[in-house]
Amino acid sequence: MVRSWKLRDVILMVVFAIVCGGLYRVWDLVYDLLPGTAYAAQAATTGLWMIAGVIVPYIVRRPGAALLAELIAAAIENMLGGQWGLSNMVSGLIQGIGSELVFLFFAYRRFNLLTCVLSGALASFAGVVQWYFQYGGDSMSAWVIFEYTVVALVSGAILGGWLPKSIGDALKRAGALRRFAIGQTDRTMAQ
Amino acid sequence: MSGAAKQPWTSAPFVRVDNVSIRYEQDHRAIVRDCSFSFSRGELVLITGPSGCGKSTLAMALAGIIPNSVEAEVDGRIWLDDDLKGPGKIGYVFQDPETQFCMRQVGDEIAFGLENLKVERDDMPERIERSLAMVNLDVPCSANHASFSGGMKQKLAIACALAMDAELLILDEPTANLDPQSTRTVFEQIVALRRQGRTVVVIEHKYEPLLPYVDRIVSLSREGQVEGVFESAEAWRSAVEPNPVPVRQPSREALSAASGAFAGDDAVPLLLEASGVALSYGQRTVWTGVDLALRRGEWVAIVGPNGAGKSSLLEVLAGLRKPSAGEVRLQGQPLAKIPKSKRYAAISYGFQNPEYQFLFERVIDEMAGRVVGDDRPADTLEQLAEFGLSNLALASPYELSQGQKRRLAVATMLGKRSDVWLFDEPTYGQDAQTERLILEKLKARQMQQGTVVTVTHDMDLVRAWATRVVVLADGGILYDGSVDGLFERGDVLAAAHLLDDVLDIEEDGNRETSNKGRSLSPQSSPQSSSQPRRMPAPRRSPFGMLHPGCKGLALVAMATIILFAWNFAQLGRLWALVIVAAFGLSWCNPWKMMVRLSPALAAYLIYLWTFAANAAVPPGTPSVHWLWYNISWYGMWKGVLVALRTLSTVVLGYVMLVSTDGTDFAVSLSQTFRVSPKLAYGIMAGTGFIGSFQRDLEVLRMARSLRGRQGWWIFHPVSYALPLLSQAVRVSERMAVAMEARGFFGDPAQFASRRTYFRVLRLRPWDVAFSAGLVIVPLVLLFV
Repeated sequence: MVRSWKLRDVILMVVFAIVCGGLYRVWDLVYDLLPGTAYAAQAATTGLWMIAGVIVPYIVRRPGAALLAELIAAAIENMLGGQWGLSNMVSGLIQGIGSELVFLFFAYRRFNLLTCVLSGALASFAGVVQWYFQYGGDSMSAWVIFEYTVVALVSGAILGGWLPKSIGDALKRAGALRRFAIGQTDRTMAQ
Repeated sequence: MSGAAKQPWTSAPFVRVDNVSIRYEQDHRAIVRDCSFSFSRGELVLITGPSGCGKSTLAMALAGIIPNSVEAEVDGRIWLDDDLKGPGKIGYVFQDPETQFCMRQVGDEIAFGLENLKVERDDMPERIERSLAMVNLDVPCSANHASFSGGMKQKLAIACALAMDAELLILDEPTANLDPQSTRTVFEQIVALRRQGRTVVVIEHKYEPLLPYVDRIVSLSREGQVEGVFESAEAWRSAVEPNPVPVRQPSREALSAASGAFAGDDAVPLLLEASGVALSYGQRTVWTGVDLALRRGEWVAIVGPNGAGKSSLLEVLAGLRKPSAGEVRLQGQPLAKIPKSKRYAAISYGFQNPEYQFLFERVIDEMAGRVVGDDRPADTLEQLAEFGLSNLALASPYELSQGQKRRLAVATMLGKRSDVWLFDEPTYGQDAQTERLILEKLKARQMQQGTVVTVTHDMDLVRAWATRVVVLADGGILYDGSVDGLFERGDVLAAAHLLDDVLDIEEDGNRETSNKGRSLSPQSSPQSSSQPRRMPAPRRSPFGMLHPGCKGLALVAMATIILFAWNFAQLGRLWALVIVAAFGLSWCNPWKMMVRLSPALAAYLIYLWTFAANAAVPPGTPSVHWLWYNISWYGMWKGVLVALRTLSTVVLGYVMLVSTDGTDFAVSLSQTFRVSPKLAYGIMAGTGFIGSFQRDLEVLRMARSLRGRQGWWIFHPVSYALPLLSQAVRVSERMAVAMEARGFFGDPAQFASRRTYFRVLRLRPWDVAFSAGLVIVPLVLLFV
């Protein structure tokens, strides 16, 4: 049941990506406050930067939603003065691809806790890859790399998968999303 | 009741509605039922009825927005004259001036509709100018409409429709958010349109001034049925007495009993007092030198033009916003020193956007102020019944209609026992009956020796209910005294836009603009582009002239290449290139750049320490063990490498931002890269949301602290998410509907090649060559 994008899907994606971009920027500051040596803590923050790539596809359920939303959110974060500059766009791109792949694998038919958690975790994994090659992960000891990877994946699953899904569900319960795919699939199932 | 349709027709109707019923998918009952009426070409038609009766639904069905953009089940038939078929023939002006635009500049905005009609580029400037002239809006095409007043925005929306040669214009409560002067401006415009022979349908609550010009009135009942169709105001008045008009006035007895205290009455105890209060944001002063003493038993109305800072004054009075100077005292005690729980037991506050103050997931919990579970307190149910909400007790507050949300918000606040009642536009969007209910409740609070303060644009309300009026305009209090006294002060009325006459429209509105929204479209080209757009800018940097999409790709590619630098020699060469790009090619101001990037720089210092203290050191390299750190020069240099690498992309990101016009960028996506216009223009429209986002967050913070649910800042994102995002959803939906109503559907929205473009962004060979250089040079520098 893959349908084409409606204009309201596009605008919702952009607006949500903007909110996420603002959140990412705030999260950057939280990250800065962490002691530089607390790798596990740093890794634990990773998942939040994956929110856009899950909440938007979970609501609009269109191919490309995860990738585009994560890219736009990254661009907004950069506009708001992100400390990672255009590297952000690279992050947005690879993390977006990570999120998107999971939904693609399920042919855009499954939007449930499992796919959301997998999506957040895979996006986080993309983040770990970038950390390893760009942000100096390769110069860390093997134990730190292992620790970082595991914690980042769990963070991606929880902060980047479960959390955005719960927000989407709460919005649906509040009746705000009736005119989007998330609100409609359920109704057809109920009948 | 729908018998009105059976009148004999003298001429062919322009629009005929036959037994139309409309039901939204999620509802069980139809919102509009069995409606039949018609009107002829050139008529001014007024649709009235209580709030929530389906006026907008009916109007959207006339315009085809239902069911094309908003899904609903439509029964019956709407017959349109042949002249009304085709995109753009029916123009629609929405209630909210903010969410019906999708571009930044006036010229682009009007051209958007023309592009959808595939009007030739060369014909656009003339049509834009003509439509601006028709609505008497004297602004350059390059003006940024975010800084317009509400009245100007509505005129622009009308101009957008006229440019598309709309034969029928539908205006859905176009004056709901406007001050009296702007309202008059819009009304005058409506009358002028009728004089020009246009057919106009207006939905209005405040229709009095329009009545002499109205040709037909369609009155809807609460159940969404046509109560009657009247061909003149007199016929209508005599038929629907004693309904809407008299309800607005409170009973004379109530008034005389409530004459209460006046400003100078020192015998009455002082409740809330502001002395020398001022408010400014950065350089911009909103108002200064405000002294206000509020006594028990008073009803004070705060009035003034759009953007004068009335809401923020109310927020300061409530202690929700810190004034930049002066002090507010509650019963002699500085407000800032009173703990929040005590402060907001004494002060009740109603926000303009009711949604921000909701805390619970069910209406009944919201009303009770706690989760009541299955036992439903009788008094809570009673309160709900009073405001007509009892059948919604178990619904989510966010799910209610706008009018119901406001009613609930007011009801929860009125349920408290406070001394001071501050309400921002408490009756906005309510029908006469609910309005009266709310006002009488407030009156009761005033009578019990409370103080009521309302911000309002409704001068009838002021006249009928307030005991004292404060005029806020031109950065201060222009008038503070009795209501009757105000109406004798022509100068004050004029300065505060409370008069009906037309003043210079350039003046106000500038205050409410957000800097955030502007920073999105850095002023590289916008200011230069006046009437025949694309006049050569006075001085633009080489990067500023580069095709924006092409430049974006090239810069991202360049940044990616830099990320592969692995030694200092490479980084040194690449940094030299970055510096040439920033200062030589895009003429960045070094000082501004330093200020902007300073937080990032600070973050990178921490970064260095991380590396110095923690890097895995190859055997044989000197390092110092201290605590659990392993400090080494080796790690330090590694850190410098990583930091320099990423920092260069930060500079490039900044270069991209300052040298690119946001609109050009979005348009180039579609025009040059053939990205679906739906996506490119959707991005354009969506980014307009950034401006209002900050304000939304701020109000939400205040609402939470007011209701004692602020909590730790760390949990804010969690508790803010629902109201903020449901607002975001609503904004998205409205924007999409407004864009589709302007012909943005089908091929022109789907395919980049099926629309015309007002902004001409040619990809010249020079752009390609230059951008290729931006990719090749760093590649060469990386490998030499």
